[in-house]
Amino acid sequence: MSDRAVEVGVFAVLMTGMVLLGFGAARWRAPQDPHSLEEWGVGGRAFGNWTTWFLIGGSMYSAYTFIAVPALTYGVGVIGFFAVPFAIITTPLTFVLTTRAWSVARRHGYLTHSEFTSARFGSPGLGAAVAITGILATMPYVAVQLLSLQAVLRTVGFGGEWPLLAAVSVVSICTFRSGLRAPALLSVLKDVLMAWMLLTALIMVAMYGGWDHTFRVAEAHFAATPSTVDGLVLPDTGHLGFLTLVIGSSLAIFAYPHALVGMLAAKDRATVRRNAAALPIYCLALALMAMLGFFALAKGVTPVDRDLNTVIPRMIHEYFPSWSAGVAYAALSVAALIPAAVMSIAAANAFTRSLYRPYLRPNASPATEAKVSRWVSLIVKFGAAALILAIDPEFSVDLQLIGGVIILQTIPAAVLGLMTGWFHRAALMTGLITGLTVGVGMLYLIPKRDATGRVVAEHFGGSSWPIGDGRTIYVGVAALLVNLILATALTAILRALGRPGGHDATRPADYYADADDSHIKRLDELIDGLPRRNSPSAAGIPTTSAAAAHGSTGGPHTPGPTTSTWQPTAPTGTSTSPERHATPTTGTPPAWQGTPPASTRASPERHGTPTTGTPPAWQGTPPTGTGASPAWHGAPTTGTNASGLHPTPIAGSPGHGASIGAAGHDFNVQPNPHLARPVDLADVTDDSGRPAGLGHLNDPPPVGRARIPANDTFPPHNAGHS
Amino acid sequence: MATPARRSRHWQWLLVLPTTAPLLTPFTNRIEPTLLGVPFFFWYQFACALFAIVVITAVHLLTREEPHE
Repeated sequence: MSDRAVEVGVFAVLMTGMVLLGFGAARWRAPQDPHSLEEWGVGGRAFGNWTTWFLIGGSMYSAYTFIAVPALTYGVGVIGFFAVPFAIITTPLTFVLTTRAWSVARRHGYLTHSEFTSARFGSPGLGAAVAITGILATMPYVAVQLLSLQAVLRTVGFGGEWPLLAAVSVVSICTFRSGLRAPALLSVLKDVLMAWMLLTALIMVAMYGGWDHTFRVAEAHFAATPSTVDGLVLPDTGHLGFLTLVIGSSLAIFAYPHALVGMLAAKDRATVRRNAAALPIYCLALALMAMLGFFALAKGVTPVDRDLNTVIPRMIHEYFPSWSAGVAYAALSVAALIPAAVMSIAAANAFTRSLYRPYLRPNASPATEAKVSRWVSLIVKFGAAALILAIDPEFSVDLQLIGGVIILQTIPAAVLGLMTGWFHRAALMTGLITGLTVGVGMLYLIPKRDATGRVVAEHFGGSSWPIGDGRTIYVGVAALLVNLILATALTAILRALGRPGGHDATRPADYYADADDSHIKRLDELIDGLPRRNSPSAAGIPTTSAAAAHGSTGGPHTPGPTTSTWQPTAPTGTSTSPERHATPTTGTPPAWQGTPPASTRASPERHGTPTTGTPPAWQGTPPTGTGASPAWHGAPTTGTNASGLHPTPIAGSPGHGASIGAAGHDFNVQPNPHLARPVDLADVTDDSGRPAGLGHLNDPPPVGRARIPANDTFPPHNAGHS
Repeated sequence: MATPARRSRHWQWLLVLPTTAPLLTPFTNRIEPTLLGVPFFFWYQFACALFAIVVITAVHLLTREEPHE
């Protein structure tokens, strides 16, 4: 058998195995309800240390990184190595930022930055803008992954377009079926193959002259080129451009929708923190790959069709043992497909949660959400494939460049928002739009030059903006500075004028919430009106996980459902149901009419809006005495402690919750038959993205019964809409 | 409501070190001393990655959040 046949054979066998595994992934740790977006989109938020680590590595260190970074070092030398410091500084930032993002997302059931932004700044419009920016930035990112895949396939010998289309179809079907589970499972295998590839590469370098020889030849090569910016060390004027690129890229990572997906799938805060500590291992792998660019240069590897992306695949073909080359190709191909899958899932989640639900179908059920996301993720992948087939691949690289710049403009809202809610939503929106305009405008004005400095194209020639003396600055950072200055100044002005910002649906403690954090529990009780003292009932409420139940439709970490004690007994007064959200039910008694036994706290699943007449998912969630109330919006649902759920506006300031807690006192009243539906604060938060409606529950009901405001303005959808 | 009191939250400031270390390119922009033939600029970044593992692990352990307080 020829070398080529072995290569292709190993590659084909491995790829087939991976695809089969991807199909089987849906069964892996199979959820009770695979049809909710929580399950499909973030794996039920139940991935442990290892799975999370592999998934994040798989989605952030993509084929584009492993192929394009060495291509850059091959082409321009040290500047291409920017990816390494960039990757390193994301890790301490992950430790701080992502744990906060994880907590607040877990607490409120967010799947995307855009949802968080909408709630944090009380502006669905801002959330939608962040979602659109994220989706626009993600599309070309998916496209460049597919370009990398094409480069590998081309080197293996599968030229043309059909292999790419076949690969995209297969990965689409896997994702469609298994959601985030498919990429998570494949990430593990990919890393095994990748580790093998790196080991082979190290042996290869040692066998063919070592690093010493490699770098000496590379240095001589760069010295001989006419360009002044390439080489093994940065030119004196190169630091600003290099550092702004590093900083901009690492901030962007936190704004891309897909970066959050992997972390949200983690099961608790400690998992996120441990992962941050272990992620630099990927940086070592990346640094090694980057140096392989010099090896390829030193060995005189030439790209196929002048496409630099083929340098690494070519090097593998020429210097690896043929079966090892097959392994490496499989690793690189899967490394392209996993991020493509994760990115399309993330973009789809952003669409579903920040555009579809707030604007198109406010009462979408979890099943509908999952369905919409599935189809959108399909559209994203095939859209990206169409992008590179229909237009010049060069152009999708340009789009990726633009994507990196525009995603940075969401930093003030989506990432700084994690640290502070100070910004005003109108200021953020203005900053975002200005930043986008400035960034894209600057990119448009940068001409493309060849090595000798001659202009070969008028526009979109790179992302380095010259600022004189040969110094440059990364466009994304420049635009972000404009954005930030504007957002800060406008916020200061608006605040000085006394214009209140949007209502912040999050509270400081949310950013530290953990899956089984006792603090969440305490907060729940306060909000739900269950007094921690002074009530015999309160003593019986164990402090088990609160947030775990939240937003999860029977996910693996939902506290054991004790459905048997949860007996929906249709109250007699159902006809009086003042459907507060203008979504009249179809006449069938909706499931929420079930009243749980006295002195328990039900935990309505937040998506379980009673619009369809079908029993919503929360029926199966826990109840009695387990205290499994989802986050703070889980409202007590019976007349038994009606006084607890009323009324006091808790919106906004901390401390209000305490008064609610104090108000809740009577647990032993019989369930009130006239209680038409539980006051489901979750719905309030859900529909508008924040609990703005809480303030409307102002009328203190008579003791022992809950009154539900019958007005339709509840929740005031657009109250906070800028 | 104040954020929950965490022990030794200030240890997190240690994270400034691995965040800034890779950015010191004006001081690391040279070939010598090489390590196994790799120029200083490059192996310094490898060292930064290892340093980040050490510091983040340390901060994680020092600020460990007790699940049940």
